[in-house]
Amino acid sequence: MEKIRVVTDSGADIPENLVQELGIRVVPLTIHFGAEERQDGVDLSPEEFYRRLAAGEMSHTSQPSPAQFETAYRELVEEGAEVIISCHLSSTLSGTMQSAQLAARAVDVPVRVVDTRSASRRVGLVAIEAARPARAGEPVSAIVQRLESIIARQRVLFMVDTLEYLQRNGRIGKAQAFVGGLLNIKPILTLEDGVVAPLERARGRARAVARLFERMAQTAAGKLRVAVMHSQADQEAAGLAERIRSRFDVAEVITGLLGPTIGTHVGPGTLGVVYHSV
Amino acid sequence: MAHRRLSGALFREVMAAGAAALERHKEEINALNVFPVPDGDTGTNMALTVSAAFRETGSDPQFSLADVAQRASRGALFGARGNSGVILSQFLRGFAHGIGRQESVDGRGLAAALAQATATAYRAVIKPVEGTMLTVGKGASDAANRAALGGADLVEVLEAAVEGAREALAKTPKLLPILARAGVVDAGGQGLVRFLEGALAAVRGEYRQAPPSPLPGKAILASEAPGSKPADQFGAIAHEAVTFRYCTEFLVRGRHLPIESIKAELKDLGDSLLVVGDPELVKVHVHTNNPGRALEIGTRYGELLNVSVSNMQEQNRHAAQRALGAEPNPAANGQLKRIGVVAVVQGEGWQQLLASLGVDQLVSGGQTMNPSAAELVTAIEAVPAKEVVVLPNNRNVVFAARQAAELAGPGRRVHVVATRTAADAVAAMMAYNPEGDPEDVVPGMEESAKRVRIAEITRAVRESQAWELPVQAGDFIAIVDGEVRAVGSTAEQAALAILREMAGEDATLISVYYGDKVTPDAAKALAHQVRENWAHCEVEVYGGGQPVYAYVLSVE
Repeated sequence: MEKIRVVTDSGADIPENLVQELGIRVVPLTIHFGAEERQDGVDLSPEEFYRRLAAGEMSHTSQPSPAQFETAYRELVEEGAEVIISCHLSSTLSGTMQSAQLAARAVDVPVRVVDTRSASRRVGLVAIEAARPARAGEPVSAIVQRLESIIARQRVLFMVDTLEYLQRNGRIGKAQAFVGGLLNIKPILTLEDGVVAPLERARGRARAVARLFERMAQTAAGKLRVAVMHSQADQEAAGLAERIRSRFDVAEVITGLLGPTIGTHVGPGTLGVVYHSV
Repeated sequence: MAHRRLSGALFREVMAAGAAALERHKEEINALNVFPVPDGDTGTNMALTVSAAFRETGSDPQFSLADVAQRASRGALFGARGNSGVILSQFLRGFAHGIGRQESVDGRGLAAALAQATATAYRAVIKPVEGTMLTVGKGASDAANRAALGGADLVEVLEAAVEGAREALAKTPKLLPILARAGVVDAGGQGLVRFLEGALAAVRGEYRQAPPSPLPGKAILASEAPGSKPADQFGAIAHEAVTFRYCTEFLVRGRHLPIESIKAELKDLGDSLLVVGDPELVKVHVHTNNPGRALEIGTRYGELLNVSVSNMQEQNRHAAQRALGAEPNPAANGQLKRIGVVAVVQGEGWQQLLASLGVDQLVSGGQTMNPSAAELVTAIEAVPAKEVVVLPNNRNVVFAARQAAELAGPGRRVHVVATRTAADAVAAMMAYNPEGDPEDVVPGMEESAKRVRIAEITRAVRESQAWELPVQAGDFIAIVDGEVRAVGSTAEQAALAILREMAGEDATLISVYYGDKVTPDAAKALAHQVRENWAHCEVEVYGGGQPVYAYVLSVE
């Protein structure tokens, strides 16, 4: 039986308890506030990050270097890993995949680098789906094959409080069409082939949350694995998770905060849901 | 002297007489409004529609009845304003169809064509309602056919038609309870009676009055065009046999385009001149013998797009099919998108709101000035998308929008989302996604518009017992779904009263859009009261700038 370990990046937004439990290795992206550089989750907590955004500071991100990945992979090999599965932010959104692929060539064990074509909890769910069977001893080829199928089935819906952050960081994609507007409008978005795409708009947060749920109800079927993520919208996230638990047959609902990596791009007040049939 | 046969020249006179009769009686028809609100415009719409039909008839004395009927039909289809104008245009279209290729007809031929007119109008309306103009048209054509069967001549057939129309009109309140409650007959039906009376005068040889005056307002036909000279010169022009053979149409794209100057330069080239648009994009339509000169004038002002020159003698055969060569032009707005939007709206605030939500083309108009089908076609064709959604934002613009959808050039699919107010349009735009799949986006826009509840607050100009609530002149009334549902002595009182009915526990957002006669302070004071009474809702206030309605309220 091969010993498999899973690596992801800080854009996956996996809750700390699951990281510990499943032995997932998270490589941080760098968050810049002007000239100041911090490592997401290492020396920058979400709390501090959002406090600084609220104070008007602006952040941007940079991908981990190949050396950071190489270090992570080598450490896992020293811990006995024989195969590594590395699941990352979409190559259309970040250069993280690029660094991981370069590092993969530099280590002696096989590293399977998986492009999730997504972000945040979608990456996280994929990494979790890799880590669980890996601990159970499934062969790596079967795991990677299943990950591809999950990536194809996954849906993401999210609302942002403002499009300003996506626009400022150049990640707005096709949602450019929703920029502007004199009304108090909350855009509802998705990721299409790894690019942000518009779905609809709602007037006010309450309607936006209701529409997120209604849209999910239109497309979700069967037993679901769900992640609800948010940036400083704890109550709305808890309410949405509760509605999802009572409306759908769910295997699991993971709720948690969007970390600084994704938070940089979507800003505070974002609420989203990722789901796929089990 | 009474005429025995309806010829092309006589039919042109019939249209002139019908238009003049509607023009003379338009205020009487406008006043037949089921709401005690000064916004009835059925008479104006019908007069403008028939004027447009008349102007299109051309002045060639050699034209057969078939030629003139086709031209009138085409003019009416494009010039149609308001639901009544659209239905009237469908009567004229059916009439032309019934005439077919005949040079002229007698009483029996007239009766047959009237029957066809009625059938076509019924078919054009998705859900025909009795007690409307359709009933009156049917009364006219049924009576005409009974008379023709008895061997009546042209004048007698038309006399029977007028009598049948009047009888049917008198019955409209029995068929439509809302008319009975308001104590009026159907306005469109009254208009049709007036039109037929005018037609009868012409056929009797009694019509000597001035033909319709040129269009008021923003529209567009150069009043100096030979086609619209007063009636006493009408004969003279006919004898000059001025024919303009080429229907020439094009768009001019540029900056700061002077519509009036372009119009002035083109007016001597021919007739039926139409110059519409905005400073960036102007549509030109002219009948001329010198299309090259018209194009040359256009190029001096900007870049030409969608040029179309057609020979109208050929065109008469397919008058209803207008080929504009209107492939959506990606250059018109830089980029071709998947779905674009046209909205009809009145009030600067609304225009800004809708433009900010992504509406491509705004057509000015609404309750008190319905746009013609032609204006909507121009707007549709200026949208850089192959799929275009039209938001009529008024019940009385819905038919014209559907007609425009059919008349718009090939290469476009037009969807009418039947919004009743601009507040519906705001809701519809929430589901708009310019790059989405039209099969999802259009139904989504429809559903989104249905999810909001809308009330319009306005002032009654007369007392009315038509509703459950008695209305005195000067009262402010709240209209919801075509019913008076609340009354107050101030606009704000009426607004609060209707909100008590509409905004329940499930409401999350109340929007207040105030009109052009309301001060921002008054609107803010109202919003303050709404916030106090509906603490669980978000409350938003915007200046819509709409006329007539002090407030438009939406609850979602």
